[in-house]
Amino acid sequence: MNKLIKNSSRFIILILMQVFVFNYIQWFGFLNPFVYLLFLILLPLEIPKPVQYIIAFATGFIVDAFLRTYGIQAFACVLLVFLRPYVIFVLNGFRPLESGIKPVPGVKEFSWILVYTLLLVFVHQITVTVLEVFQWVQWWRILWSSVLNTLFTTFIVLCVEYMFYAGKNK
Amino acid sequence: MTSFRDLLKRYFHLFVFLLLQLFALMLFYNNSTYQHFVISTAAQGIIGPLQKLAHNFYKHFQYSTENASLLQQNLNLLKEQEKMFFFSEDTVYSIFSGENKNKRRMYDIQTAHVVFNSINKAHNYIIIDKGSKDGVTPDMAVISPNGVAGVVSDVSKNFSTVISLLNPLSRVSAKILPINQIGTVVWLDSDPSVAQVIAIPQHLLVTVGDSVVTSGYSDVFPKDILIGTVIEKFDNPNNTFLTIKIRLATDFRNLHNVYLISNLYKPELDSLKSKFVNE
Repeated sequence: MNKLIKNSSRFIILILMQVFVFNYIQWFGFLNPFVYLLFLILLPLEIPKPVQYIIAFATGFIVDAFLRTYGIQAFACVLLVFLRPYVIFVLNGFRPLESGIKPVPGVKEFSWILVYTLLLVFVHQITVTVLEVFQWVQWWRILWSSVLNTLFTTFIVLCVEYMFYAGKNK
Repeated sequence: MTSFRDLLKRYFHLFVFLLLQLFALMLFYNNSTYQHFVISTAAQGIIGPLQKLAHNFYKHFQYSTENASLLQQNLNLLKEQEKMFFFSEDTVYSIFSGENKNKRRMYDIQTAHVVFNSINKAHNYIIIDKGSKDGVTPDMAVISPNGVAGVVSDVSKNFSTVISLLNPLSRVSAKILPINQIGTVVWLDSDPSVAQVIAIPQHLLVTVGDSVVTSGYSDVFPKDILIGTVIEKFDNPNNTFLTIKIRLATDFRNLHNVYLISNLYKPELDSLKSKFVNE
């Protein structure tokens, strides 16, 4: 129950922050951080997979509605959540998942969290950019825009994450 | 059968994943068609007011840039007004057609911000944030968006002192409009919204409500810039002139942006004037 409240409040706050603050950050015309991904990154792995996908879809859909890009964020969010267990699998050295694994600071060290976040954000970002631009001619633009956006988003996501977790699990 | 159930159980999440992805792609593909319209109309009902709220909040941060661009726009419009030029009609064609006037720029204009302004002293001054590095020289005209404000007296590198119209030292050559009579506007009352026009003979017909504008004879102000409107007139028992009180067009209590007008032919005019006898 406590976990449910924690996750839903995280969901609401991050989405509100995203649609009212971070969507208005449009530096240089392409730098736009998707900080709400933190919610999906921290989503407990014990939740049944189909439910995870539906939550991800709903999250993406709400952000889509505010950005008026129907389907793009939803598609990328579901993909992110789908790839999450495999990313953890690879990062844990190809060992099968333990049951109680938590991708949070304190449980995992900083470098693990950093790579984990970077990979997932990059997957999301490149999907979004490909679908938005939708022209293979502009692959170079897609690439550098995704990379820069990934770095920017990851930076903010890690800042937020460590702000709230740093003191807790020590 | 059991194996099929197991298979379903094992790959159910994959099925959900593919279904959702398909749905997302469908949404994306139908972006510009009826479905998109239906969804966005429904969503707009909820999101529209929220975004309007956000816009109402964020728009306040843009006023200063918007203000600067409007000021620039005003400046450009002022520069193209006819009174900024003088016209020389020296061909037969141009005299008779009225077109193709040979026009030359007589005045240039720039904006300035008021950094100091007094209205309740015996001698009132304005300080503006343009100085010699912006090309300001003494005797440039200063007007507000509504009318005449003063004349530049001293110039430093970054700032200039302006003798406000609310100063007994300031004398602006003016004319009263319907009768075209030339007079001088001086500030004699201590009211910051009232000045007087002197040297108008008593036999002339001046009515309350007449406009008083700059005459254009002083080489400081271009002609036809509003100074004020007549609010009171009476015969002066001491001499043969009318006493005319005018309400100033410029609101000196709220003076923020002013325009600086420079006469581009001033050195030439000054050198001519220096030969006047007994000026």
